[in-house]
Amino acid sequence: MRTQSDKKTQSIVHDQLSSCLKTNLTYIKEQLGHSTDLVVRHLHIGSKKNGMAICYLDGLVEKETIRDQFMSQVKRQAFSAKDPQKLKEEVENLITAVSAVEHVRLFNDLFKHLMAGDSILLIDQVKSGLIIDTKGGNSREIDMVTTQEVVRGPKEGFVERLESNIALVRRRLKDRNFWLKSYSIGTKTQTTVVIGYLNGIVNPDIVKEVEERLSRIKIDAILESGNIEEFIQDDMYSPFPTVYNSERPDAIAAGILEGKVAIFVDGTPFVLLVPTLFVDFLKSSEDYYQRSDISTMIRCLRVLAFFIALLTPSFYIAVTLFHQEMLPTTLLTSLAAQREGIPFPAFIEALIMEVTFELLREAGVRLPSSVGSAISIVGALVLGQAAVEAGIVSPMMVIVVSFTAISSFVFPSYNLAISIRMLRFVFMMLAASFGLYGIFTGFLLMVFHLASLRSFGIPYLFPLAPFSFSGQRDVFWRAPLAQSKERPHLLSQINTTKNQTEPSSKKEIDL
Amino acid sequence: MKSKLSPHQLSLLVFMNILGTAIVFIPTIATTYGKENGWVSVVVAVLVGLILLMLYPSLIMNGKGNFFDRIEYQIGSIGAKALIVLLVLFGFFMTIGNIWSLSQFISVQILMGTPPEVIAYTITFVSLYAIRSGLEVIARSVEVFFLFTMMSLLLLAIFVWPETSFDHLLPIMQLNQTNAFVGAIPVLAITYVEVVILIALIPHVNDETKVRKSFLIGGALAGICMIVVTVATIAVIGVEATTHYTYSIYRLGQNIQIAEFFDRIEGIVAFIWFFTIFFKISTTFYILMISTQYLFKVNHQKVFSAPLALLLIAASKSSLPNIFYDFELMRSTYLTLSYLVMIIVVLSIGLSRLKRSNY
Repeated sequence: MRTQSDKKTQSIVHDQLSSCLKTNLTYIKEQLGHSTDLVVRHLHIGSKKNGMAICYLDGLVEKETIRDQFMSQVKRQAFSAKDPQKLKEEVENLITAVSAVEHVRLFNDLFKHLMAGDSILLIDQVKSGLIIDTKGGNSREIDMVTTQEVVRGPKEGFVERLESNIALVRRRLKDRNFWLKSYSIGTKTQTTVVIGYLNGIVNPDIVKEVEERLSRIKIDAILESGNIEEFIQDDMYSPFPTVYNSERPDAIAAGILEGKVAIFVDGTPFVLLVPTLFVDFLKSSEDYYQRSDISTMIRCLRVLAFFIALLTPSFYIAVTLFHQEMLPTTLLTSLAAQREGIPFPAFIEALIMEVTFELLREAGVRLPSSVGSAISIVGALVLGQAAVEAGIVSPMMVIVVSFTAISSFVFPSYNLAISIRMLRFVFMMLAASFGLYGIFTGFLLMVFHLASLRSFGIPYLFPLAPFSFSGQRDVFWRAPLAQSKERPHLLSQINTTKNQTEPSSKKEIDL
Repeated sequence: MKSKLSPHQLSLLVFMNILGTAIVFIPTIATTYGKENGWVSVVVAVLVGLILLMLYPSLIMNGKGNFFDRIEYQIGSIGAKALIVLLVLFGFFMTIGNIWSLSQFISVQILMGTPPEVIAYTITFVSLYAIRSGLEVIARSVEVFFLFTMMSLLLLAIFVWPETSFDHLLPIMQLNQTNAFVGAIPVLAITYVEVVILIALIPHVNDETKVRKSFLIGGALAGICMIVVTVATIAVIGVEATTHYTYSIYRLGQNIQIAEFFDRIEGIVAFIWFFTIFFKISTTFYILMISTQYLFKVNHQKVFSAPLALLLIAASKSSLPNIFYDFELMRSTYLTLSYLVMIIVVLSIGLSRLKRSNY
């Protein structure tokens, strides 16, 4: 490829721009394989025909900027200079008024900017090009969040465009200490990845660690923040997520305010937050917008849901197989009556129902919403009812599975729900082989695993273990804002005061 | 990497180590000697035990470096080796006793028909996983499970409350007074005396000035729990039954009644015992691991973990034939061994004091 073009144009050396406009344009076209989205428009300078050309990739640029503010200006202007170098300066002055301008001398840089949505202005007889910032093109408007919905709280969510996402957070953190640093990761995708943190609050070691882990990534494509997450997470083979993601700008802003580091990835509405603690997955940003007592109750409900979603089927198996004496007699007799005609042992029965439910859930996600309701009818009503009537599963099992299913949808975070769903099957197997003892053992192992996890140096179970008394203000109990005056200590030891409001005194107003 | 414990975590480990095994056997043992004054034996044992807990840390409170350096500094290289061999033997004996008694308890009471060997295997491998993850992980998990243990104990105490009849406790200190104090001896042996092995963890604590305090807090908390459980057992099921049942506290759990619907949730008791004994096994196993590493001068800490686990399983299966032998053992061999270890440790504290005052 290269040698061919060299022969033809005879002047592209060391990747440098040539002084001949035509040579440059031919080279660009050849390098892009004559792709159809490359637009090249020639311009006349005064009397000189085709003295200038602008090229850009269609769809990546703001066409209005090019047409109205640039093309028309250049056309109208009568350039006085005859010397190409002077001419370039004149053009540059003209464009600076409307857009940011940079110089480029190497084709490598030129292509990088071209791909990013900039326009390149090339002038005949000049050995460098001008890069005009015309990034734009179509993308999704800022829209409602779809994954972490709340009753009370902001409704807008991140979008696929990096600039909008950063602006959404910046709008909430009007502080000059909110610093951003940009990386380009992926040799083919050149995805922009931006880390953001609050200088003076964040622990500098954590920022350094994030930077180091990001710079270690050598991959050809980053298409979603999940790709980044897999490379920077602490434990590759843990069922528990050690990186938090959210499409809520307020959740990300709150995390940054606690001293965490946000990682924005271009092309996805999901922004990452590190370091992440286990309890973060049990929190919703709404907890801080509702009053403290309500939030506390809801958080306790979530903890309950955690145990229900994880352990109910295994408890059912353990109790029916090994520990019948634990049930009250009336319940035991009704259970025994229900299970009389069931051909399967409790474990198989539970497994069938759980797998069925997982299938239904997965089908519900993939199906277009118009068919979704049909599936729920077939799944829930027909299958459940018919399975019981056919004597394949007991009604009690249906209750257990539905209860588990409802509980697993309580979590604000999808990640944790997945971990629980996976572990549920492990617990069911343990319960089938060792009864309650198996569940205890599994629980011990799970806690050992959780206690051994760290997210960017922070123990994953903090503030439960290692126990921190001040940290308890924001775990099960969401302390009233007037009482929570400090940021979590383990994340950052610098500048921990977050609130100095005096609790409002009960004053009677004389009317 | 040196693993660190906070004083808080140390006191929880002390708590778990005292309650492990003991919580289930204490009511039976104490009542066998003291009859209706069994709880007095426990009170006496707790008071003496707290004094012992004050003494233990003295051996290695001074000095720098790890546990073994400190002991060498205090009582010389040969003395240190001898003491650690003794501690290893004691710890090994204690661990196999615990593993086997838990396995038997589960195969007799919870999973009827499951061979105890299987339970011994699972429990040892789970603690193997724990100790290979490191002391910090064990310490953090203790913090999580402490909550569960305390909750279960509280629930047990509250739920059996309606069943208590304090007539069972009468007459207080009128009959066989001597036996009430004699009963404290075996009670001490399986609780506070055993904890001597935890001095190996002291160098890991990040604030050593608080070590004695954490020992005392853990000890006192465990003492209160033991007293409450013993009183409750005697008051609910009576002296006769308490001495009769091997797992009298489990029998106590069977008396639970909530709203006349939930009864027989003795699983709660199993919870308490399971968690406490598990952490006891893990901690002693960890100390065994680092001690053997020291004795055999091996660089890598985890080298002996897996072989030790296999040894523990084999030894526990072969040394203790059945649950009746457990009581025999607790009354004779084990009692002697544990007091021997305790006396030697206390003597070496005195020795090192004497040695230093001479200089």
